[in-house]
Amino acid sequence: MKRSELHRFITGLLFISPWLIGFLLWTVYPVLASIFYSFTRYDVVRPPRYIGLSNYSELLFKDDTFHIVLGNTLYFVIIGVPLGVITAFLLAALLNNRMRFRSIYRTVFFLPAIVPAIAAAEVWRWVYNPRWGLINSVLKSMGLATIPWLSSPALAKFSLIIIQAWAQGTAMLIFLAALQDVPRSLYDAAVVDGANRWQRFRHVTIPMTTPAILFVLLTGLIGTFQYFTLGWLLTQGGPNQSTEFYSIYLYRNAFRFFKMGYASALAWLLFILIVICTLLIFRTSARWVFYGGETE
Amino acid sequence: MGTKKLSRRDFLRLSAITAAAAVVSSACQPQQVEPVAPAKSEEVPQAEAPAAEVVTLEWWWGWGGTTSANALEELKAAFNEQHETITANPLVPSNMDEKLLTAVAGGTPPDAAVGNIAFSELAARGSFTPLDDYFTVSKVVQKDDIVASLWQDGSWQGTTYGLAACEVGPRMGFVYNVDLVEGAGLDPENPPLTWDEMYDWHEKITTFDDAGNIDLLGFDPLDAMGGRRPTSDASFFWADSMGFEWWNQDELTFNFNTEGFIESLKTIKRFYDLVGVEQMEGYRSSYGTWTQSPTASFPAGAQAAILNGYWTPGELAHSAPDKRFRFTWPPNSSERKGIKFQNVGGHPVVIPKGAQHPDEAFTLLEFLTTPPAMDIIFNTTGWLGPRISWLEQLNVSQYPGLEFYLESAINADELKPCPLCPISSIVGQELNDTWDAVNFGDKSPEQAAAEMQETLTSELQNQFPELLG
Repeated sequence: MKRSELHRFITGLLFISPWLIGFLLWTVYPVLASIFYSFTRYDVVRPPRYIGLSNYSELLFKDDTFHIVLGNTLYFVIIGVPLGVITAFLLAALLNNRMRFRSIYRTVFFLPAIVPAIAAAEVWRWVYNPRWGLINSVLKSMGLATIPWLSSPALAKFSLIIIQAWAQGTAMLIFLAALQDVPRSLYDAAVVDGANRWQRFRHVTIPMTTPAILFVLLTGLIGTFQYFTLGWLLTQGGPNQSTEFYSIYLYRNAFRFFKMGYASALAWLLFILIVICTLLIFRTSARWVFYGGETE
Repeated sequence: MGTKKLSRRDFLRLSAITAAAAVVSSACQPQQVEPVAPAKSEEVPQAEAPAAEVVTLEWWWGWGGTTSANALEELKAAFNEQHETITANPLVPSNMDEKLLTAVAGGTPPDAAVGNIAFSELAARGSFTPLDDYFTVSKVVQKDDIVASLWQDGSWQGTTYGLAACEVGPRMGFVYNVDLVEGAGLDPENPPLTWDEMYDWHEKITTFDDAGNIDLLGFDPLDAMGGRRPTSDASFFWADSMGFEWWNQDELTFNFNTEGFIESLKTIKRFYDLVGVEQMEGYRSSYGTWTQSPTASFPAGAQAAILNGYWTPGELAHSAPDKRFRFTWPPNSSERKGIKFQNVGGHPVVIPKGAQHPDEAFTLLEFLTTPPAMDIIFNTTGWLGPRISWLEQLNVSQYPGLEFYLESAINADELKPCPLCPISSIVGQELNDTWDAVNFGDKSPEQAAAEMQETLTSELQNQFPELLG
């Protein structure tokens, strides 16, 4: 390397050194440490004890709770992520039309995405309250039985999924930007060819926004696998372990049960699971994602 | 000859180097020494007295709520006024267990802590400062004047790591709303002595609306002390009531796969089945539990009976002053009808290992056991303290019903110890999961008890092989 190039390189490093130091200290080091701890019995306050692959084998083959937790999380991901994507897309499609007060509607639909989680939890706790909640009050006044939204194992997960779908403001904005980027000429050409509204939506709108759909799907998947806050605030894993999600179980093991080694193994298994799902989606994306400007 | 100008690139380079150097040098600075407050003195000395260093104690207090906050403010003021060279700086952290764990692990623990902490778990892992030497020389804490069982509750394997203060007293009692019992046609002078008799009350008191929603609940067996996991400050209610020992302190073994525990699971399920498990869960989440909040089901008059400790009279005096309550012995299994059991526990004040000021923290611990501190706490919250001489002179007429609890510690047929289990958090979670599994019909009581026994035995072996040999 020439002296001047070396000079420029060092200058660049100096400029990014604050971020670099933080990244090494608070991301790289904890990640490497957690790999090490996942092979140990470690309760945070005593030195770790090396136990090889015991944590992983116990998780995969002996821990019944882990299997329940994995099932709950996969349920949430398989239903919650597509529902969130569809909700956000449909909202964006609605907002993409010319209408009065469009900016007000856009703000209203986006607001849930920026409401703090604790505030959202309190609001939905009231909405779902079995006796005085918004929904159950109406049912009671009509002489009907109330719905145990968060106290029924059969309904609790879906109740949380509804809250997740309510907070899709950020995804909605991404889709809105993508929709507004679809060339008008394509719609005009489709009209000339006799396509009706649904056909234009299906054969022009959706294909042209598939890159955004892929992005929202992937980020939604990664985030939903790590779902924690509202589940912890509203149900704490109950009733009957029906909302014991992966991150909740990981947190309990790390900070309640003094099993940081076990929690580290849980974290790495989750990472592998997310990587596998992400790779699968990338692999299949070539078939359904259309990048504008491509030629066959 | 032209003057050499500083180019934009050079200026930016120099600025970046200067900024980076400033960041690095500020990180390497030695810690600032706290300014020392001059010592107070009543007379002006001829020669200047050396300035005494004022130590600031970081003190974690584990209870929220208005009455508790008032108690803390008064305690802080009283302590700071009494101690010129020590300033107590209390903090009320949420999720104290997790925060105390990470603070101890990170080497930045508070100087003292009290509240719902995982005492036996942290003590078993060497996270607290041993206090025996402190108590030996203490002129404030007289060993014989402290309720005897509290010494055991604050120790692990023969070493004392804490002493219960701030909230101490009998944990077990059966409390019922006299008006609701009378309204159901029952006799409030004859409370149930067995679970069969209690079920009869539950059946007669519980009512539903036309749509099948609960209107009034007779009894929730998992509310308050009924649903509380066993910890170092309270025994396990269902073990005490059914007469089985779930944890053998000497042999370090669990005993959940027993008739007593299975019977307790069946009993709880019976109460749940009358109203429907989802209805019961929903009812509890609508109102809330325990007795401190006026909107919780029992103070609100939405539930007729509860299992709760000595703090109940004080709390109900604030949360439900207009209602009539009776306090008596909890029911037992039929075989144990009439047996009076009680458990006296309390929350140990601890000095975490690595505390910066352990000597001063012990001074705070001593203060919390003194009559002025106990008076503050009792008058603001209704909570009791650990000193026998103070308890004997206490005027309990302020909180009707409190005399039952104080007398129960003397009149009990069985006085149960608080368990010291080094994996009590896991025990608590397993209990919750077992209750749910049985109440929701996923597992039979026998299956659930056997699985719980196996799980806990395995966990103890994994985490403490050195204790089990």
